[in-house]
Amino acid sequence: MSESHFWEATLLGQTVHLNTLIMVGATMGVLLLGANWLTSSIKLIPSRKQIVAESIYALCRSITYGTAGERGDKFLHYVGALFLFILTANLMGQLPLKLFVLPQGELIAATGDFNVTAALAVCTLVMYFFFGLKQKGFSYFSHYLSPLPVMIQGQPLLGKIAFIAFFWPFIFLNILEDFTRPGSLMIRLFFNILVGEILAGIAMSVAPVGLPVVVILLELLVACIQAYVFAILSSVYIAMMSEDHDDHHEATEDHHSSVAVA
Amino acid sequence: METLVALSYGAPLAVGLAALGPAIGLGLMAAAYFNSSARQPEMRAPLFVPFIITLGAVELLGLFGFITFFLIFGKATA
Repeated sequence: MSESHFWEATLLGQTVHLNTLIMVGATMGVLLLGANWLTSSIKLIPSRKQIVAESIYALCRSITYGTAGERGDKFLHYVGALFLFILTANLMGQLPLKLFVLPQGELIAATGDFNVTAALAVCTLVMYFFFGLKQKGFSYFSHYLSPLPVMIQGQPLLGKIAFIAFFWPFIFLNILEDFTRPGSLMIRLFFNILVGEILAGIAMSVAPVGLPVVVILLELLVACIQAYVFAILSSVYIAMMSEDHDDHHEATEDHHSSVAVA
Repeated sequence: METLVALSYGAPLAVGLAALGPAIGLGLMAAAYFNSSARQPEMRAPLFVPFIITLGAVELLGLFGFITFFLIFGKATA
């Protein structure tokens, strides 16, 4: 958490963490080269390589299909990229990165830096605003009034005024939601990875032979689960914000209804 | 100095206590999921996504204790 864990430099008046930049660059390199290699020869009758690529695609699609159904194909690219990036970044944190000696700080997983997870969470915020506005137009902002339009339905005028007078603070809660959603995404991913790093460090100091293996196995599990959770929650938020009323009926009939989580 | 001693006893205890609630919640949730998928194996796949989403929501509460630990300890040692 302190400054000594990062290799800091100043760029255009801003402090940047060079070790995080290195890890983000390495993650992107692995992803780009891997994607390029896996999809280099696409044929109608797939080779082994192509089967692996298609199963990765199917895994990404299962995330959006599980939360939004057919409609999820619109944001499959975003959620799939998010899932693969976080998964690769988390798993790269388990490589023997201590072998690389830096002038200051040490290499940890890219998602073990608060700034990376914050950027990813802000990306999700932007994407669900974008898809909501694209799907619903300006009426997207009517969800900030959320319980009021239903409450005042069929009430006499006095009842409408009374409901609005009592329940107008809900607007602030709905605005607050836009901050708590990316905040919770960011905190969950960052602290899970950070706890893993700290735990591995403690295991190294307690019993250098044997115990770190157990911790690393646990961390591999956590890395996969956290990437999956981040992708699924992003998918749920985007699906919730961009759903029409007609789509909603279809979704509930298909038993693929999205679950509302704050 | 006394504050630091008190914190070094209290703050780890707070992390443990904060982990208690989510631990119970996660246990109940996983038990319900396994029960339901044992009774109706065909519901296993449709329930998996809501299970993971709820897992994320419950687990966050445990992390809040950890964050508080870091915030308080950072302030006290600074």
